[in-house]
Amino acid sequence: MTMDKKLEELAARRARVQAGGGSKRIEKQHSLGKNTARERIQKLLDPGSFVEIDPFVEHRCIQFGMEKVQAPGEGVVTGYGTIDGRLIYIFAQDFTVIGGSLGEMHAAKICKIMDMAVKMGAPLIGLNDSGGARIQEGVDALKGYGEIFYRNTRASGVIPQISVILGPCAGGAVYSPALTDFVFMVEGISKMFITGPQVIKAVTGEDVTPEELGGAVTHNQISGVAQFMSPTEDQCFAQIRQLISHIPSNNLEDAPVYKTQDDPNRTSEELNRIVPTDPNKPYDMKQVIREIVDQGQMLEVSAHYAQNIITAFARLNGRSIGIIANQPRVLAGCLDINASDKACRFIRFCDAFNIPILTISDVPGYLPGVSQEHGGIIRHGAKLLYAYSEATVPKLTVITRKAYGGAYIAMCSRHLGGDHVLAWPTAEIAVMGPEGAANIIFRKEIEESSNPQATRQEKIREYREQFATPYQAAARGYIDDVIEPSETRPRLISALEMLITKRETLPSKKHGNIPM
Amino acid sequence: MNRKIKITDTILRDAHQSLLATRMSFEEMEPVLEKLDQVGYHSLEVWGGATFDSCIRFLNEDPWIRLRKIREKIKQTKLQMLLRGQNLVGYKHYPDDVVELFVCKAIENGLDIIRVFDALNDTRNMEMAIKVAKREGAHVQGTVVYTISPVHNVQKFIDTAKELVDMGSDSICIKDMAGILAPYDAYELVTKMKEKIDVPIQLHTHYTSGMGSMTCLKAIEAGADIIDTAISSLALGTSQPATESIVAALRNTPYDTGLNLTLLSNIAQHFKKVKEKHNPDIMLTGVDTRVINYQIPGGMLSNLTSQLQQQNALDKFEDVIKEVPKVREEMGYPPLVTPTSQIIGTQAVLNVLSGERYKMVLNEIKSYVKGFYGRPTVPIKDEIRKKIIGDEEPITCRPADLLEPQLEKIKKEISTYIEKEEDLLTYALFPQVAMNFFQKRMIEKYRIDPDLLNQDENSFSTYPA
Repeated sequence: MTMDKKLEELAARRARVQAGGGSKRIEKQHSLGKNTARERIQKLLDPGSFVEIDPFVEHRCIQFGMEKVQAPGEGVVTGYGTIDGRLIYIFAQDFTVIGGSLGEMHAAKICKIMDMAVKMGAPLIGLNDSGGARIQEGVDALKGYGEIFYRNTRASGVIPQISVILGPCAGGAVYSPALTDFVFMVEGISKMFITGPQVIKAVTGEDVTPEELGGAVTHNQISGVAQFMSPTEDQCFAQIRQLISHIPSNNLEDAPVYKTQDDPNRTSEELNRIVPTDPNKPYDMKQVIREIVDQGQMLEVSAHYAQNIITAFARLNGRSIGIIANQPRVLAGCLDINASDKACRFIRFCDAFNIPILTISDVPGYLPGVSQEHGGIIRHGAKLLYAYSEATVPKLTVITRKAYGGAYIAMCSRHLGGDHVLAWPTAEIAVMGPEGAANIIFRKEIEESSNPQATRQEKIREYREQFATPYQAAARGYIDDVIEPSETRPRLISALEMLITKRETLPSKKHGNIPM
Repeated sequence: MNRKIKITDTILRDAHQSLLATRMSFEEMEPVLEKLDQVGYHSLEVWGGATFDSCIRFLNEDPWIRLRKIREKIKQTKLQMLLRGQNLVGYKHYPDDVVELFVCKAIENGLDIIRVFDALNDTRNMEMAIKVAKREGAHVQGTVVYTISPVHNVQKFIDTAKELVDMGSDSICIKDMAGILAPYDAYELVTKMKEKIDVPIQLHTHYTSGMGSMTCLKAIEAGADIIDTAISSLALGTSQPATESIVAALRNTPYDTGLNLTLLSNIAQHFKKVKEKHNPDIMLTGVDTRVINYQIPGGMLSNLTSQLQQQNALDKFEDVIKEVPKVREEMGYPPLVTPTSQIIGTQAVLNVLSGERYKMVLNEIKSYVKGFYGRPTVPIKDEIRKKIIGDEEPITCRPADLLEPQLEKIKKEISTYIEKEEDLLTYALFPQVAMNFFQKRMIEKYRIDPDLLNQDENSFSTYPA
């Protein structure tokens, strides 16, 4: 064969792979509002940066007549490229090629990319769009899933792993995304569930549509399986790029620092007035965050789930931080099972990837209820304590108002290793709310009073003035300072700069035993 | 002279078909099956009629499995079914191969008595079923459908009964599905029939017009051997006379049934709870003498109501009720029972709602006029025939002679789903409903969601593992 012929053959082979499942299937993909695997990669990565690996891999199944079946690219496009110039590894399942189904070699391509991402210390992004396993490949397909799960787990905390659900993702396949750090979904396109609606109907009699069962809204709002959702694929890709800007490429690096136009010494008068005088009146904690962080910008994680707690990425003077904040607007900012779950996972991501943590606390306590108790609030709440105590990144805490009892401890108090704890003058750091405390402590006085009602009110007022303040805690050094709210931003930036060299190691151990 | 009257209880078939839209599930029957077996009935009607359809359409129950399970618990009492001749338990004629296998399987799965009827009293439509049932060793009960019309009389019914006995019927049932057989008419009919035929005579009536028990009593006096009744909790109204009442009425008379009233009321308690759960339409439980004028069976009344409800035309109910006898006359006075009741009823609804009679003609009416359901009681007038089928000539042969065998074809069509031979029949009778039922069964059994399965002959099959 002449060189020209060889080049011709190469071009022909590559063209075959790049054509995916052919124009008819590509058209069908488009008609569903979906991009093809290759289009998705082009849109997500920096233009022209993608380099494909393993285009010529083929399956090895010779059972049930499958030796004749062609699957260009094995139903998955893999390779590397950049986002904002930073190296990224990526795989995108190609639904146009035998439904993006997973077989031995399809999985092998993904595993190769995963191994490279870990070796080179770069984020891995997986675009999932697959009809499931290739049944004819039998255990070889199962092995494929298993090897991906294994790598997901091993890579956890080493490189950031991002899963994007851009089609069906059902049965065991859901567990790879579930093992990664962030799951992105697109409304109307993404579906995730273990068991399909028809089988559920047959077994339990419950009638549910695929969308209700495992669509983007369901997993962002109800199950908490996914952290991000968007109306279109394009908006989803923009979100992913934004997330990448907040996180480092691996556990040995820091997140990139961006120059900011926002003055580090900027104060905010607004913060002096944001906390209502009535302690039972809500306010929007997101407004507090926006007043503090660079340009008022934050990227919420799990924005639609357990909204009584806010988790978000933002920057202080250009440095990435992770924020955990109670939201008084929802359930009065109480901690419950889902909020504990959500915050705990976020704290652990930040800690694993050297992202300092800012906690903003206004918490009346844990949510009362049989369902909470029976659901294991004890166990789930413990995770929050565990995650904070274990985290070695710089930990900043601001207490804006309520910090009662166990919930006070949980929200990154000094006692769980908070490095710098500030309180606003509106803070009420106490064992419980003034009403309760006064009723217990002054029970005898109230009982013996000729006017118990008046005495009760008197004692509550007395207690509130003396103890429902930051000064008892400040007197013990449990908080480092009481600050004017308007100064929160400069004070936090200063503290962050001060803490940036923080070095703390945990006792040598295999791993702890977080109360899952 | 003592003449012990035998009782067939319809509680597991016609009683709930008439009052609960055929929705009683096996689960609801199961707790009292053994007690029912101890009562000492002549037989229990447990299968056929609309129960088959309802099982697969509404209850997600396999009617064949239901029959087997009933047989397992009811070991002594004879089980009987209602078979619509060549229509089996469906609404149209099925080919002979389907009829043959159906009857065989019904008997094989536990039935002892097959009550065969034809809506038009056309014995040609019962021929095949009777032949097979005899061959398979079942008790065949030939049925004379009772109706009132200017062209029906005692002699006509006796002629039909005699034909059925000649064909091999082991007993004869007088089937008064509309509840219009008056006590003294029953006396005359039974007396005269008794004179002409030697096999036992059974009376099946409905309580719709409120005459049921009186009719039974007169029929008994006239010599009827067996009476259909239903346990009191699901008796009366459009259902049968109450078992307990008949048993009590005949106690210490020459006709004493010998059944145990305490045990019966015990069973009634159970079905009372079942009834409460289903919340039956109280309209169906009262007395409605309109049936005497219109001769509309109980089930049909509620059908018409729901048809009109769907069309938001309940205000036309009276018009439709008056239209039914007109259509019936024009169709040559067929007795109104499934499927003629449905066909005539729906055409009457169309005639009223479309504003012009026979502006829209039901396909089933066309088939009927062409003779595909059998011979009308009297020939249809030419002008009506022309209006409906134009110049086409009606057939004169047995309708099923024109039907091709079906089973071999079905075997191929549903090969993926078939789990037992009876499935062929379920599908032959109700293809669409059966297919849904089979698919559901497959999902339940194999736990495979068809929506998630991708199967292409020349490629990998993919499914979430």
